Amino acid sequence: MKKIAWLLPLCLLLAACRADVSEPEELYLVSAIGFDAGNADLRVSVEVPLTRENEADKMEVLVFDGTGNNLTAAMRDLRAKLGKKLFFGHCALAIFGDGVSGDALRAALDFLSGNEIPLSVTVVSAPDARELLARGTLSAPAAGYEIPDILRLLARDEGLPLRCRYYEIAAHSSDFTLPRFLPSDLNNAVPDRFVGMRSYRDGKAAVE
Amino acid sequence: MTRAKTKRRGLHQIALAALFTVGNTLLRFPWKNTGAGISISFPVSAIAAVCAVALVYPAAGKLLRAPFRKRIPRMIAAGVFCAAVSAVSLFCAARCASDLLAFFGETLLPRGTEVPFSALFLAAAVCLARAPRRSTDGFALIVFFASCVAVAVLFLRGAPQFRAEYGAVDFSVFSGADVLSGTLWAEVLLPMAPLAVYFGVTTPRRKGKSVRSPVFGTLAGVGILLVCVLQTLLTFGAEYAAALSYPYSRAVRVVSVGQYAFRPEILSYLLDYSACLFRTAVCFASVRRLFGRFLPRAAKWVPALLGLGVFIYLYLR
Amino acid sequence: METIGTELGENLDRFCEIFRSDGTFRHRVFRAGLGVRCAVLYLDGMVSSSAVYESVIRPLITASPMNAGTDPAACAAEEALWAGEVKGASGFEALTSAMLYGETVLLFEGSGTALHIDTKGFRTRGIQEPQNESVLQGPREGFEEAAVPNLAMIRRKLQTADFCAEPMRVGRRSGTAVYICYLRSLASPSLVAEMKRRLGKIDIDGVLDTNYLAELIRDGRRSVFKTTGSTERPDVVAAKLLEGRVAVVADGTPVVLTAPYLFAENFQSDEDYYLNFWVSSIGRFLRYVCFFLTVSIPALYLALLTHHQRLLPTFLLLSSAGTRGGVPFSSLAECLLLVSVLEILKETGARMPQNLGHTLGIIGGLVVGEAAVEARLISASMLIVVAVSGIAGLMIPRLRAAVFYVRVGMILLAAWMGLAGCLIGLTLLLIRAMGISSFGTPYLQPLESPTVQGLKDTFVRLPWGTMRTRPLFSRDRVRQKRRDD
Repeated sequence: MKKIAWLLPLCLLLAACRADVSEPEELYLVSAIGFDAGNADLRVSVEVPLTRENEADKMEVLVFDGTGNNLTAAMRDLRAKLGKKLFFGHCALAIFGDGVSGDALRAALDFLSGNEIPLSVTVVSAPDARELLARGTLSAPAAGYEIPDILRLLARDEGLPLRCRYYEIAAHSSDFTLPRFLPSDLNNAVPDRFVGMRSYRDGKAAVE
Repeated sequence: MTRAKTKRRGLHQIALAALFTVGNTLLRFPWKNTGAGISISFPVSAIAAVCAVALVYPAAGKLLRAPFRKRIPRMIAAGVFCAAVSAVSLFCAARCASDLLAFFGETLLPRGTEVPFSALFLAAAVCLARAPRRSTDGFALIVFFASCVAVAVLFLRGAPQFRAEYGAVDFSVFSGADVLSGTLWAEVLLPMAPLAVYFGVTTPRRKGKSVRSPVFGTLAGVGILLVCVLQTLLTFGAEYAAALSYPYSRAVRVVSVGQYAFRPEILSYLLDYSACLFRTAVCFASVRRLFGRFLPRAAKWVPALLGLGVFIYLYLR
Repeated sequence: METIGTELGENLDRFCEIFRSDGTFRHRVFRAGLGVRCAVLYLDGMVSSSAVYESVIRPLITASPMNAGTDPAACAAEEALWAGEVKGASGFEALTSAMLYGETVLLFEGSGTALHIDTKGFRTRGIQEPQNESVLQGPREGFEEAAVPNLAMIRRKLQTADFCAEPMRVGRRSGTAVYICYLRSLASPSLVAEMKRRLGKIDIDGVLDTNYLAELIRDGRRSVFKTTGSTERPDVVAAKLLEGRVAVVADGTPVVLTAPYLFAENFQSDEDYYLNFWVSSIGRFLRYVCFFLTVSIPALYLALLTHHQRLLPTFLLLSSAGTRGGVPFSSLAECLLLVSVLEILKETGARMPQNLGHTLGIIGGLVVGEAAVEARLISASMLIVVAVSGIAGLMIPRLRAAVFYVRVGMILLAAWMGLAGCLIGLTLLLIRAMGISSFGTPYLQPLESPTVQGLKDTFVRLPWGTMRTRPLFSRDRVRQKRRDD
């Protein structure tokens, strides 16, 4: 009986006093991540849907970005701007901008292979990843969920053989094909547009 | 024992043997660095090991059951055999616990909880090893059915992700050397020793029939492993799977109940955990039974000592 | 042992001394028609006054004189008294014990033997429907506080000479009458002997309820799982006896114990066997599901919310994050707080008078449910999870204590180690349950050794025609034969 008497408070203490427990409101849930490469730097953009207190039925989407010489520096720059920890466990979309190739492409693919990001993340290409994320969506709360839905419908209705989940392309890390999207036109109520496929050979992009 | 009781006991033994066979093999599936041919040579060698065990364990049972108090040569033979099997059992148990801890540490455990988790896991294994046979058997049956359902659900849910071209395994990579590789021996043949001892010593001897349950159980375990390996193979392909740590766990993570619903990978942890628990517990129990032939009164403390030893090994590691 | 003498006055003085401070002690000395002086002693309130007058005093006064040399006690017992049960005794202890149980003692001048006559007349509650075990269909009578009428109710359902009710006395100061009931051809002799042994070992001041006995005779005394059953319904006791179990009926309480008691019985409802098997099976299956839900849902939700957010549905996570914004407590504290409040509401609802209980339910729902969420003290999602867990727990009232402790334990383990903690918790729970037995029968029987026949009355309740065998611990396992046998 004495053992139980001190065991319960001990468990409670151990359970409660944990510095690494993250409550969901302490996290930024990343729905999509984009990579853009310029002349000398790399830009990482993340799309974060938020539900505000007292407005659980409304969802706001924020886009944050960070730049740096390489992916590590860009991520560090991004995290420094944020008050909460980024959580990639529900990331559904990764976008490669047109400039991403060679070392930047390899670094991005390595980043996506980390344990936190699901292997089933959909990978697409776009002229500008940040613009695709920032433009907003018409049919879904966030681009990270809208674009995979569009691809699923295309595969089902038009029979397009889309193999663009990360694990489907990672085995062919130097030769693969990605769907290409242009940003939505909210003024004319046009969602993000699928405009064809973009091939990558030997780590470099070619437009088809 | 009545016929009905024997039949029921057989089902429990099959469940126990199946879970033991799965053990930490799925976590340590010898894919990395050995190529795709391992996906064929593993089940082949597992079946070969089962056949070997089916021949060996009745003899082991006979050696261990026969009285040897005044027969020195038999006592020495039994002692040497017991010492060897105990060493193998301890090795298997330590490896199993270590693999589970490494896997859970990477996927499930919060930071800083590895030590208490390993302590509780080993305590559970010790309790199972000390529990009466009927308790362990009953627990095994319940968990076995739950694990089979989990594996089946995950396989069926993951089927839309399968690619048929991954199923065509290149047989040219299969070579006889793979069968003899140290990895396969460690994963397939060695663990059969404590399993054979466990059944050989604890199962009443019925001519030809006492072999049936552990053999069928081992085959059932190999069947579960094959389903898991098949799922991994058809989802990722052999080459990509070889590049991943814990490929089955990664394959199951890809499975989703719809885009926004939860991932049923939670079910796979049940299989990993229960299989490792039973392998560790059976290893402890087999050493206890071996000790019991020589020191009956001290034998009940053996699982606790082994658990403590494995815990120290894990902590030092 | 002190025995009575032949002097009526000395015997009477001795009884007056024994009951000197008892205001209900009554005695009357008179000359019987037999030709000797005698004294009637009884405790007012324990006897039926009319029975004393009509069955004892009047027939004695109007009796014919006895022959010389005849023992007056024997003569009165054989020729004069009109009572149904008359016994002789010479020890003060036995006679005192008889008086304490509602019998009248008759002393005779010149006789070393006294008579004690059954004139019980204490008031009881009468047969009522048990409040905690009500059914929609089926018998509605329940036990009362007197043991003998309770035995009669069981006997009406089992009209067989096979029915045994062995009496015992338990309790140094209460001397409570306890009856061990069983069917001779069905109950295992070792089970009956074990029950007698355990009851005989009890050394306690008094037994006011069968729970005193239960805690002293059960296996796994510190376990949260019950290993003895209890019921207030005679039909349930009869059904248990027909399966080869043993029942313990104690005087002074309507609750009857049954043993062995297995885990699967916690999920059986009294009316499972009175409703159509389709209906019963749904309820039975739901109870198993609810048990799993009630012990694990808060822990699983907590583990997923705090440690494994990637396993939650995306929009549930977003919703939880939105609703938790501004809540000052951590998820663990919130969960434990809600579980505690739920238990407080259940306890007070059970103890309050019915009309107050309704008010309490409304206040609890409004205050805890709505106001606390509006004030951002708790989040709506956690409230829903704990409420679902609590409602699921109400489906299995017999496991109430176990459910609470297991639920809290699982919550703590989940908060500490996430899903791994839940797995460890379930493992330890199963191992613990498998280590328990009830009077020699494994507690998880038949779940741990499933047979086709055994499982026909566990997760579902199959039709009566298919349930042909009794449980393993029964002496005779054939419950019914096939029609063509």
